[in-house]
Amino acid sequence: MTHDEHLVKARRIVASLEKLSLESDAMCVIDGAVIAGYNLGNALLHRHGVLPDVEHANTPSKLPVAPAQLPTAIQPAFAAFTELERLRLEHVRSPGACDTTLAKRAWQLLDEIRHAAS
Amino acid sequence: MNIAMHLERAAAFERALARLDPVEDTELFVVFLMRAGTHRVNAALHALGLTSGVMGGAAGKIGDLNHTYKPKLDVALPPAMQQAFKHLSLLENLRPEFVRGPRVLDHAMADACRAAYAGIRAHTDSILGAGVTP
Repeated sequence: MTHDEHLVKARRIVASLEKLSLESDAMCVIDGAVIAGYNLGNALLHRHGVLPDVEHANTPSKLPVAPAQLPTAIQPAFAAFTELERLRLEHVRSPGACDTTLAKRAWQLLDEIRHAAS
Repeated sequence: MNIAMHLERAAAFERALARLDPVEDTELFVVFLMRAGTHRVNAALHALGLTSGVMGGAAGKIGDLNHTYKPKLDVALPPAMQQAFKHLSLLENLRPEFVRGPRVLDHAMADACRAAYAGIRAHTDSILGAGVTP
């Protein structure tokens, strides 16, 4: 997808996330935030010439280069995305409990990525 | 994860799905259906003794599947699990176009997704037994 298509998808996913409860849907908030992050992260990778429109990285752990080798301007966004991916690993894909605090943290991290992509 | 946790997680995704519209919220609708289905499939595989509920696997059996194809499960599946896998694959195969791609579900496709998930529930419930919860 193109940079603009990714941003359209990300806006849709953020609107969907806003329908979820931080308290009772905490795990789903984290999972959904990573899906939004996928689109925002790839928008940034396209915008900054790291990947062409036809190539994508699912998450920071799947990047073709180490995060430290990304353009400096997008390193903070990918640092946030890395932590978001870790939350998903520990609390969505593993038995770690989820709560409102973690859901709020997921939103904070997502907002950092959104700010970078705006 | 053990069977009870898989079923709790499936129920959690189902509760979130109840807040979503399949057309407006296509991306999370597809992902959460897939997640809920994956948890039910994992619960049924553990109940059959084909995989282990221990993280990373144990006693020569692999642990939880992330997807129908990952990690590779080299065992013969009973017919009910084959059907559950078929339904789950349908949901997984929507990701390239509808989650990572630009398409949005229409109502007919949304019904097909719901039918796939109902199929997963029916086939895994038949394995987990009448006392399945939640």
